[in-house]
Amino acid sequence: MKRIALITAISTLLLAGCTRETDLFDGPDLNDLYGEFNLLQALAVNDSEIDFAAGEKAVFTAEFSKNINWTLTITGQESGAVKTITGFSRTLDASNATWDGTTTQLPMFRPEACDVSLTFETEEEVYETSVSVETARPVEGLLLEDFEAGWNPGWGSFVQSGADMSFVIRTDENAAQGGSYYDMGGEVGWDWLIGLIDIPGSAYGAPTFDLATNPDNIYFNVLLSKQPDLSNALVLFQFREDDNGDGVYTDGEEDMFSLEVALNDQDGWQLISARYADLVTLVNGAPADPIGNGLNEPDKLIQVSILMLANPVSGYAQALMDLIIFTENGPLKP
Amino acid sequence: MHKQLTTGIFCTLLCLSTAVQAQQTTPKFTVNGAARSIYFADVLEQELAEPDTVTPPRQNSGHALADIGVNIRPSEDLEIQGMVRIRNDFGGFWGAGVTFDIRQLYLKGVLNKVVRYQLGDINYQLTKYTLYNNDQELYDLSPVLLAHLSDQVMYDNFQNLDHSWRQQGAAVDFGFNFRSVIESADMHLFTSRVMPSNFATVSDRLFSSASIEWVQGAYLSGAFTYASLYDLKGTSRNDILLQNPVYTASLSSEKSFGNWTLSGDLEAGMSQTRYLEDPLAPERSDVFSDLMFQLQDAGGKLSISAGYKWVGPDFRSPGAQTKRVLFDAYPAAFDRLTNNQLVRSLTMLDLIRESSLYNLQLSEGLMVYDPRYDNITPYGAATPNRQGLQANATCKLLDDRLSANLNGLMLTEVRGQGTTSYRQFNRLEARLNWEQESYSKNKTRALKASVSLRMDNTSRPADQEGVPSVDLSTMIAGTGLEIEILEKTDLVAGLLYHSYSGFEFMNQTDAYGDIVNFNEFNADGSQWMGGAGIRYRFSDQVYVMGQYNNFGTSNVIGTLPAYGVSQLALLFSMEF
Amino acid sequence: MSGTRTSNLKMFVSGSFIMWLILICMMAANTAVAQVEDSTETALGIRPAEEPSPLRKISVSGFYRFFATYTTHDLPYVLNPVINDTVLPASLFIGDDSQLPNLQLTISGKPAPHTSFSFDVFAFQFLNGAIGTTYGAQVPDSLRPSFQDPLSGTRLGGQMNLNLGLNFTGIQETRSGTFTLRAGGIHWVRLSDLTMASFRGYNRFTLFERNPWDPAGASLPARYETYFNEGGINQDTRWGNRAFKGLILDGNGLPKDLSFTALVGKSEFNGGFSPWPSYTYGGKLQKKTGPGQYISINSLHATTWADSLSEEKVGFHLTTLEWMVHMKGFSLLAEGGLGNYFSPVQDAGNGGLISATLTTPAKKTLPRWSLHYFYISPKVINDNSIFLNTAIREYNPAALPAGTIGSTAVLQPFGSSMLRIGQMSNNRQGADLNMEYTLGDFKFNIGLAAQAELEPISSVITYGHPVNQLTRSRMWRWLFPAEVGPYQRYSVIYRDVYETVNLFDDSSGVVINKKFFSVFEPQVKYHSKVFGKNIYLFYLGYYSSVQRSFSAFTVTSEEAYIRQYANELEAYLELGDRILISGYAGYERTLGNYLTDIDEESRRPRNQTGTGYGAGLDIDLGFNARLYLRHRWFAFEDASFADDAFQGQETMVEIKIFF
Repeated sequence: MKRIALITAISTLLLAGCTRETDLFDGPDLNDLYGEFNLLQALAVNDSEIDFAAGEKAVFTAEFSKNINWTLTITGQESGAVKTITGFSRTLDASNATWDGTTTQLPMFRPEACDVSLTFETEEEVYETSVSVETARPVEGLLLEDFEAGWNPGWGSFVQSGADMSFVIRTDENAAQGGSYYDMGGEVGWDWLIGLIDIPGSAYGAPTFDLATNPDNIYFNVLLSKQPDLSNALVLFQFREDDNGDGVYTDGEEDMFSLEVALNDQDGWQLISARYADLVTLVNGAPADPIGNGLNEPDKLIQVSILMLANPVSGYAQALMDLIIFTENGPLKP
Repeated sequence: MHKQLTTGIFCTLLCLSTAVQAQQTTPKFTVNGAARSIYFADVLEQELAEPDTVTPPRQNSGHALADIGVNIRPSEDLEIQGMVRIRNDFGGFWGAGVTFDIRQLYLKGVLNKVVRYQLGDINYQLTKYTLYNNDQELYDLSPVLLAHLSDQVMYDNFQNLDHSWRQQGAAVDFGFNFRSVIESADMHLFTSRVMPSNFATVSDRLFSSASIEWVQGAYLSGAFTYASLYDLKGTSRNDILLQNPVYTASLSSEKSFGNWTLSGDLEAGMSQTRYLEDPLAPERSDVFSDLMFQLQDAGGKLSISAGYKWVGPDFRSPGAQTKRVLFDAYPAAFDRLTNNQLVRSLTMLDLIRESSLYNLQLSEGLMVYDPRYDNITPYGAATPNRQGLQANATCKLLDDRLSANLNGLMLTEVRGQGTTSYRQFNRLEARLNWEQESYSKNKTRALKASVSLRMDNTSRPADQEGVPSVDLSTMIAGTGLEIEILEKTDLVAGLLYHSYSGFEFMNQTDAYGDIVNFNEFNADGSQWMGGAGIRYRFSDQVYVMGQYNNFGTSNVIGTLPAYGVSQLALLFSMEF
Repeated sequence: MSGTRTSNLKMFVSGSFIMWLILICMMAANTAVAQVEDSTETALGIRPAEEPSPLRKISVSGFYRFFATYTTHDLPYVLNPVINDTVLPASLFIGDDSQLPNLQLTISGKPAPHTSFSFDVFAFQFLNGAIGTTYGAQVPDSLRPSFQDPLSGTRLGGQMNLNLGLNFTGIQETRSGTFTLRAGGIHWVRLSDLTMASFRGYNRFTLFERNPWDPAGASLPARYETYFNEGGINQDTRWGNRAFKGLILDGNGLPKDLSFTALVGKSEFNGGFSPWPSYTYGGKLQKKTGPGQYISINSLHATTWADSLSEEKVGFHLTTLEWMVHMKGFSLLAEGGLGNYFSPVQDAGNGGLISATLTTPAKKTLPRWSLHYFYISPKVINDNSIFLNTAIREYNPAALPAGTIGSTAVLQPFGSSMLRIGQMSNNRQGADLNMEYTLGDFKFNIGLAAQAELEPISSVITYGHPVNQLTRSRMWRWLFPAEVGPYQRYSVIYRDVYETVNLFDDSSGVVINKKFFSVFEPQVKYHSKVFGKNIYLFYLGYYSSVQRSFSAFTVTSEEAYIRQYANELEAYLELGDRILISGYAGYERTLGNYLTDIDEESRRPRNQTGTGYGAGLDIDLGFNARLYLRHRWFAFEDASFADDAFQGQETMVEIKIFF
């Protein structure tokens, strides 16, 4: 019997040792979940003027009486740019409601005042505040052109003499980034090509573009806008490489990779990103055998060409273009 | 701790340099294994307003397979077992549909009659709180008719009757005898690889365990067990490392009085769960203790046991809490129903016969479960956040032909979820088994019958108006019959009925298992499966069986209509 | 799967399913090795109607091998700069990427007294925890190769395969001699050093790390005892031989003491599955001229069609005369002949080659000398022989990338290699002197060699690193990449890595300086007893240099392009007859002069130091079963090329069981 008593003693000791405070419980409080919803701390922002260029970030704070699905929408008053942040929590703080100046729906933010609204899936209340962008968020990468400083003299271009051609830089509120963009449009009844731009590496100080050797983490990005009820625009990007390093692109012997974008679905600005390693050789739109050594070598890229095409039969075609840039380790986050 | 443990296994082989091993015999080469061919023909019926013109109502499937095991014994203290599975799906001609597969390869040996070691595929099991492969839902209550089908699934998924987990690694066992203080102590060391590194984001994940079983004397024995699931540092670019050690001590003692014996078993321990280098991950640790007393009469006719258990809410033991069934998986047979092709969720029919719903490897954290099947012990004995009484009584009557078993649980939560009040869990289980050598006078014809019933209830009053209170009750009833009608030919019949109704909250958790929300879960419905079949036993290892059974389910709450599947199954199973 | 008996049902596993069915029918009534009497069953199904002829004898043998390495690296050594891949701080690798499986079953049967067939099945196991019913890789129907073209698509069985393939051997004794015909899978063949053989050298190597195919040996210390006494260790059947697939006919004991070997088929170098014909043929005719003496003519020819129209051929011809004679204890083995290489772009005509070895009589007290001279013209090539090709840039029709089947692009170090004594290469002549002498408990086996290029062809030198050789080859698993490592100067070959050195003393691209090689390889073996237990100490030195002028001894000054000094010391002590402890220490220095690669920052040539220390245990697990534990510390650094440095530890566990 002694032994049985010994065992019970040990076990009760063990149990006593581990009783913990019982007022705690796991998970959110049911009373809140089922209680009615109310705002414990109003929506606020840490700073009304955000200098994104200096690396500042906007942090929104609020607190509710329970966990709930919420959506924070920031809209630029001038540019119409939209940034949405969503989450499921009881509080808004730096960990789930920080805005670093990026955009969800193009165009991109520019220095302007913005309206901020906080809405919920299961509640009608809407809370608002405002914040203004002092300086837009800078974009890292090898910038080819954002059309803010006019035409790059190093570029070459050719425009067909078709009807109402508009290969020109425009400065108005339609720009996707900054204030200006490039308007490519026209009607050419006898040829697919409406106009083209040649961007040689020499326009940037060296025969080839200053890019790393590994094609896996180099990305080509451009912002293109499809005009409403015009879905015949076709933009072809060509990347010529100087495989043998003789400083000149020799046709038929060295690689030329292409990226073809058909602007035929949703209207407005959209981001086009392509990993350099995924670029293939195209012959009138169909993948074909490589012309040169078949290796995607970004450090040997000697010229980028942009061709605005449209089916001659389809009449007037137009596409707006802004912010052509190479980024590393990931596509552009506008 | 783990590094020493892993090297520990191999260093233990050093301490042997004694007598030359006995004279060797010529290598023996024998073949073992199993073979089976199985065929299902199913017909689906749905209770719909207008007929379903999309879902194909009839499906046939089947396969034949042979597991050829090659057992080589170079000497009598060395054994190499390799097993190849050759499977040919029904309808595959001239080599189409054939797959080869290595199913098992291990080396087993005894070093100098003292150290036993095994390397390769190992079935391993420790205590209920450290490494234990709990039965899947409905299995221990289903009649023999349906057990024939689920046995094939369990054989395929290495789920053996000894509740061991199939692992790949190395195990070493050896023991010491002592003259004083304790009589003997056996050491069991084990390490297996649960997941290989992909050299980028996933590190090598190992499961290591060490246990010492000691016997003090005639009355007292016990064990210390350590088991841990952990990531091996440096084997990938990911710095975040899981470490989930479990330490337990168990004690059992026995004393007899006249023709009664009283025994006590205690297991207590703690677990820690942490993610090194991950600032967001919470660090969890908790304790448990499980105490059971048993009174048994000498003839084994009557045994009564009762005990108290306490398992903390943050107790995590992947080896004991990993479930067999993936409740978030979808069945392959009749995967969509009705004209608008609604996805069909898992039912009793699929649990019994579909191998793809089963999980084979230990997994961190708590897996998803369906409260309608088992809301009290979804993770077996090691289910966290449970405390309370457990009782069991078994008696044998009519000179052992009738055996009755009664089992009860009265548990509550240790810590509330969303409220300070606790859930109450009550379970009552009853089983009656009848076994008769021969029911007819002149020929020996065996008869077996079984009835089993389990009633579960979970309840928690709401402590504030507007918050729904928890009240979920489920009932599982099974009955089976096996009558030998001709020599070695049996009529086998069985029925399994499962009903559920009430309300419960389902936890919505984040990546680390913290509860972030509660989802409402309403259940009201039932499902059943029953039928009969003829079985011919060539020997106790080889039998052929044809059975026809009917499955049906209807749910008051839910998008699917009431539907049923009638199934003809032909099964030829052989072990050699 | 018929057979309802529950007694031992003899089943055999084979490559493909159809093979399966044939085998079952053939072996329905058979006798097992354990001589369990089988009662013949009732008529076996409908086909075959009559009882199949019983096999004489089925025997199963093979081995089980477990091999695991756990490596930790302290420095982030760059493996491949292009994709900036560095070594992981720790890696656990179970299995062996020298393609030796975990379980190999060799099943052989003797259908008639003098004919036999054998096939082997092997299986890999990587203990990845992938436990599902598809333990191996299950091949979906869509990917399965059709049985008319079984090689395309994904083969069945995932990790199961045939290693040596299906081999058939038939022996026919006649009055005029015994003829053995071998066909089917891989057979091991040796003709002569210059035609078909693999390098054996003077048995100077280290034993600390075992070859995967090393046998377990009769007893634990047997491996070291044999090495001490006879200089070699008992080797697997493949030692000194070449793998050959095709038809091999041997004739022995013919009248007038003649014997011959004729073979036609594929060697490892015309492997691959391209449909264009590619084969090797040749043979040997030998006449015995006395006890242990013979004259033989050996010839070997390889032809590969280089294009689909079968107009352009690539290959070589090689014919040699071999003469073995003993006079008053002295013995002379000389082999010489002509060979050429032809390809669509090259046909430089015939070149000569000769290799002669004179050995003094084996006297107890006197040292035994052997003098070896060889001359191999740059126009001769024969990858199957023991001389390497460092002169001819082989025309590779299929241009298979390195590492794929049949590709020889990298498997031979190209460029002028620094060789071990006894190794030869074309475009080179050389002499080496070897001395073996036993003095009390010491045995000396010392070699000195001097070689010279015939024509200055390549301005590239390649050399290996004896210390940490296997550790280095394990950094790149499964593949044989070229130009990898921090300065892309390493290339990986089978169980070795060689380093490429560029020379800068050519005049505008034309190589002007011939290269001269000097090697000194001292080996000292010591055996004695410690507390009654055997202890063996083996020291192996390798002092080698390559320079622009002849030198009998290794050049140790700046004159040499590359100087390499490697010292390796091993110790083996028996603790009991079931346990043996071993130790290893290796130190290696390699220096380059200013005519070789210079580092941009340090502006200095190679100055490399490699060290390796190890401890190990051999444990006897029972009859023919061994457990080998090895732990090594390794480090390497190049004082001039800062990035080329690695350091870490490696634990190896190997269990080998033969049955």
